[in-house]
Amino acid sequence: MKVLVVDDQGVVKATGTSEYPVLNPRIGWAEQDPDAWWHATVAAVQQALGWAGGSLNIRAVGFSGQMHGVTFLGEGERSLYPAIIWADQRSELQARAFTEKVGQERLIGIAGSPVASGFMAATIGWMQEEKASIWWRTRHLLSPKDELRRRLTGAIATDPGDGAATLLFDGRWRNWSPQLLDAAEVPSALLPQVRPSSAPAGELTQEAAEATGLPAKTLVVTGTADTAASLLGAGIVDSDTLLLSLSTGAQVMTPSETFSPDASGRTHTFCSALEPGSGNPGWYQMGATLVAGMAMRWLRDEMLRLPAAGAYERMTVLAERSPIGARGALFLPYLVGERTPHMDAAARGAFLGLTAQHDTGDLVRAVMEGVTLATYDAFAVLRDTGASPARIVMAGGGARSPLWRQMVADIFGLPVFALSTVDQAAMGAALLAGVGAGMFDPIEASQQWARYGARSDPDTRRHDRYQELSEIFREAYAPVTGVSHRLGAWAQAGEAPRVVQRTIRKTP
Amino acid sequence: MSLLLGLDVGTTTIKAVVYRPDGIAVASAAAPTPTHVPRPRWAFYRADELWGTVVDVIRRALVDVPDPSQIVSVAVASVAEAGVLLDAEGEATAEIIAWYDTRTKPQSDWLGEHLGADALFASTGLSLQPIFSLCKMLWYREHEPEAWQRSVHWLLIDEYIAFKLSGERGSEPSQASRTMLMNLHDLTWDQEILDKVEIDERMLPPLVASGTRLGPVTARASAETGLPQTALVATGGHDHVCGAFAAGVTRPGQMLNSLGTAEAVFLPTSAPLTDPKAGRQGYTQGAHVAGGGYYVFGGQYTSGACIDWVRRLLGDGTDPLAYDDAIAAAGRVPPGSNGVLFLPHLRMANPPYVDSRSRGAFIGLTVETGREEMARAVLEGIAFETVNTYEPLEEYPQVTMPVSSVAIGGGTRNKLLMQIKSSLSGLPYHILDAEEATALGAALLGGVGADIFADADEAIAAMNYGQSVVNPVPEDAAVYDRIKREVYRSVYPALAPLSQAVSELQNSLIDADDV
Repeated sequence: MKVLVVDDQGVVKATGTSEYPVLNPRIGWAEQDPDAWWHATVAAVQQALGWAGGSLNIRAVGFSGQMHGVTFLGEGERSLYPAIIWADQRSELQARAFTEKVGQERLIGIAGSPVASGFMAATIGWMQEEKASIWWRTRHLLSPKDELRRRLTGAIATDPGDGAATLLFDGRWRNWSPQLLDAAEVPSALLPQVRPSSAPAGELTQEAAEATGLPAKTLVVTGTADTAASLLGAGIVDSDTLLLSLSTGAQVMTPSETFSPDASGRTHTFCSALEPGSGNPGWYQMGATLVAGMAMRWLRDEMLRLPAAGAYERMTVLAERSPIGARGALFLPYLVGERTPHMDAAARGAFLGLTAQHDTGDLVRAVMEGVTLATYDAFAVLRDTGASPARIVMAGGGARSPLWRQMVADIFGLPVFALSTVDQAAMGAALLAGVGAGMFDPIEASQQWARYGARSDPDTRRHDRYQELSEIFREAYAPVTGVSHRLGAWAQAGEAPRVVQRTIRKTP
Repeated sequence: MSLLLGLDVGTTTIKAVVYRPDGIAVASAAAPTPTHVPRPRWAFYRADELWGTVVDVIRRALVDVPDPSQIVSVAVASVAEAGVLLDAEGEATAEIIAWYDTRTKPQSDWLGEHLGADALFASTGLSLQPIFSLCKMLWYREHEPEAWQRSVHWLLIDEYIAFKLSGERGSEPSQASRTMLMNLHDLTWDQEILDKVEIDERMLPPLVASGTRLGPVTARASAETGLPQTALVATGGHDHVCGAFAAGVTRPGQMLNSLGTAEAVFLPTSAPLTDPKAGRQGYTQGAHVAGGGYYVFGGQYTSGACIDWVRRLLGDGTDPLAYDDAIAAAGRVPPGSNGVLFLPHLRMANPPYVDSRSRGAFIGLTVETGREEMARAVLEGIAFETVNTYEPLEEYPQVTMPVSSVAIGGGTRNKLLMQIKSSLSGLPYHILDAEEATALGAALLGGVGADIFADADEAIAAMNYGQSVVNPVPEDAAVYDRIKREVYRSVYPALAPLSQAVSELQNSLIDADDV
């Protein structure tokens, strides 16, 4: 939980943070307790207000929230079951059944994305089948940030950003889809009214005011999903800019003025926090790769076993000694499978092209290049659906590395700007609060607030080299995963128990 | 007590080792092989420097022999293919082109065009390559006509050293089978080839059996080396064949697996392979030094090299992972390395594939993969590759599949690797503690020539070297068999086009030199 207090110039005046756990009652299940959200919110708000020493005049509150999850509320708006969040894997069967029932192409045509386990549409299916007694008592289905806002204001609502993430939503018309609700056998009365992300949703209740220390009747704005809020916070409000976020995984996102999903479901088309019209991008296209910083951490912890302090700096120094192409070493980063563009949970990672001359620096560089080429593959799908950005804003841990920024510029062939704004999702939430309070225009404020650091320009010749390498990288997927699939099947067949006696335990 | 001297003139080292008749070494000395590299891919030796180094190592070894008159025999093992041109006085007329030097590619091409690769295979059993002695002789005739004109003898390196010791010329089948001038089927100089290339058979030494007495050490050689004139010099043989002989690998059904930086598999056969396909698959063959038989030979270019490489790779950029730590880590992972697989083509592919652009790979990596899995996958990859190299030989009727393996070389000290190799091949692995097997093989052939042993079998029976056996673990063998059939065999074919693309791109990056 992150709380930011931001002024009308986009300057952060106070912050508060707190944590809540992910519960895994069974393997593959991922739940959270909405009470824990509430307590974490109260703690973080108090922390931020305390830091500022009571001198703050809070005009409005906005939200950015994790996507796809669902809370089940019964009579009296009491929580019936822990929130089942995006990472939950229990509803794979239901996701498949829903897709078959609707038809994949039709589903994507309406909702903008393929459905996966952990998405509200699939989780509801599981609840209907496995916990019918809870399903029949359910009166409200709320996304995580909408549940939190209900607790602050008593008002029940959602916005198109979170609505689209449920997969029960009509992305083009930015409202619940009668066809999809029908297919999911969900009465529309269970779902909240849809309001623009920057629209006022209510006022802070007396009870919430006493708990948090915020003034009662403070304006509370609807808010949006975290990725949509990130785009606003990063100042990305036109289709000329690509946001490349390199964290544990990576996302490539670009705003779009039209609703044009990828028919084969390799990317997501979601609703942005901006209402379409007058040139506003009402949607954004997103491709996700599962492994980015994860591969660097894996290399550090599992391969090189370097102590965390100073490790990335050291690895970067080694990687800088290796030329582009890592002297022919190529890394396929599918350590936990892949989403865009392959949608293959059984894909596995690989190092290819190895020779006796390769050293640790080549290995590190190969990992960085492999991760970046995978995001470039994901970007290629966005391009297929019409994206043609002129610049890249890079966010996440990877953006702090000059080597990595230059690599991105050279591989994509576009100038790269490092985002210096931190917590861009929370910044986007604050920005929506200000817009809801009538303080400023969202597009102007977004561009004013975002801060960028160094610019890295692509080198044409290096870009040409990377184009060639990128083709080999793309070709490698099919034959290598062909073997990997067989290896995976073998490893799971149980002839070899997955037991490793490690001297050093993994960091959690 | 009688003592036997074995000499080993190898690619990197020249060794002299003095043995008791039960194979126990009592004295030894070694020196680097003096090699000249005038330009990339060229290399040569000088006859006088080779002989000088041999004299030096013999003298130094004899320092530790209290009574050198006990030495009753001498024989030489050496690299094959390279030879010395001698004039009528027995003086070298040209530099010795190193065995691996490929300047002779045009001569090899000429032979292919005029005599035909398949016809040459049919008589010599060799798949045409530039390294064979015949190509070297044609090169001298073309590029050093004056030296060629003066020359009356051609001797391979071990034959030259034996000639310097005894004054007698003699060749034997293991070396002669690498000249491309011997008919492999009847073990005689091939008159038809000699006629076609217009080389006089009298240039070549008489062909006798390995371990045949040539004569006693001459007075002059005795004065130079300190060897007694009573010591008898006998024909030795090709270095790795001598090593196999010393390890007792002389009969079909046996296999020698010698493990160093690279790795070799050596299978005795009773008759030469007649299908030229074997040569195109990268296998080579020749005559054995023992029992009038033959062998077929394959190997991998990077074996121990892979282990050293992965230790560097998983080090901290400065220091490699300690050898024992790497092996201990590998030992903590079950067979199959939790689904990680390593293709050990760090230089090129190995038989049955001939592909210099193949590259190594780790596949099946997950976020849970640790260096333990990587280390074990390397050991398993080396072992898979060995099996993958000899199993295709089953299709040739002359080859008997091995029922046991003898292992020699530095890699045998890695007990985990030995266990993996045994389980993966399903063969008991007999690990010999005979580190100078090549010199020992030469010494034993000398002993046969001096009648210390009646024949090769008796010499082997007299050996007293340490030996231990590692047997397959049945459960592990079942795991490995599945991976081999279902996965490993398809790895190279799946990756080959990619490796070639990577290799081409890499070359173009180097050529571009602008990044």
